[in-house]
Amino acid sequence: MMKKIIGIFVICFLGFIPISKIYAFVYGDSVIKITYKYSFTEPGRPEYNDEEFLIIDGNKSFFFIGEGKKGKDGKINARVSQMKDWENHNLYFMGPMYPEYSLDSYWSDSLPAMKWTILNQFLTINNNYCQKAVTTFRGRDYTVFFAVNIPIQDGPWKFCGLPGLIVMGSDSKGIFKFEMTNFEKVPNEFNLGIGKVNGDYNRYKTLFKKWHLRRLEKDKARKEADPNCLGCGEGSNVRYVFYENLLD
Amino acid sequence: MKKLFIFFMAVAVSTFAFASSETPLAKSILKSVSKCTVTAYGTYHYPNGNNVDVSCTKSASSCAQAQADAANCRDLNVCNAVRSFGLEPSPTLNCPKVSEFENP
Repeated sequence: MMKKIIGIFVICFLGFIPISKIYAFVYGDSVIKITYKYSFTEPGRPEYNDEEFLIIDGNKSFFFIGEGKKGKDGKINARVSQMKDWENHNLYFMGPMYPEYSLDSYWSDSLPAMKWTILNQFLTINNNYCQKAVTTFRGRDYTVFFAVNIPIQDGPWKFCGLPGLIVMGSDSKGIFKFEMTNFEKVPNEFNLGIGKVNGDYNRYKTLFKKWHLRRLEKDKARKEADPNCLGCGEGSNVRYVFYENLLD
Repeated sequence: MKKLFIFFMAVAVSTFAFASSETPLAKSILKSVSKCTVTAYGTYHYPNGNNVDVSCTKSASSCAQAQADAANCRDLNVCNAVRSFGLEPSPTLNCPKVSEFENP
């Protein structure tokens, strides 16, 4: 440690480089990586589980599902589902509508997107002192717990805007649940970004509704054309479940 | 000794009852043999966080056939769900190739 400090001062002295830049070089190349366990449950069905990650890099945070893939440059690439840009107060979310809007299509949303009511109820979750908060957001009622001892106003998906990191939450029907399983500072080995931003949430919602209805009509037409079709005939129960009420 | 006698009598009577009557147990076995219904559950978690239930319930004369049909149907639904998002399904899914016109 002592050697490092002496080294930094020697470099500063020799190269007339401001100490702040050295600090950023030595210590600023790390990010906060938060792992969440996500579960999706509906009555009478087996529970579905997945891992989701929130990477906080300065004024931006990136949320994605799954570990991502290591590229040739050694950096981890992942399909970012939500990016929060705290400097410009914008949230961007992935919203492809194939084939018109490719997988790299993003849309903007307000940041923070939710208005919270903070309650006087506390819970210790994984050694974090947490407080309860509730919100109603686009058709669902959510209850979350945020860590008072982690002053990061962020969380998974579009959740954010509380005085601490959102570590646990669920909707009132218990369909969507998430819980933080790991919090660590790691070297920035991520190559994360978003694609073209096509418009705001209202525009996305209008277009999505039309696109989704067209998708349902196509499914119906396939079923009518071949009632014994294995993937679309009787017994095939394709059903879409959205976080947000996109269809009203 | 008396207790033992009562026990054997009870066993004899119940065995007779089972053998001579049209037992619901036998009926239910025949029913399941004639048609077996199986549900293959599945959830596809889109990269944007939304979900699609891709479960399938299929019936067939044999349970093995019903199981295979339900699983194939569920896997086809996953293929469609992946493609409708603009993603190419992974080769491990064995999705049928689609022509340009069939592509959703």
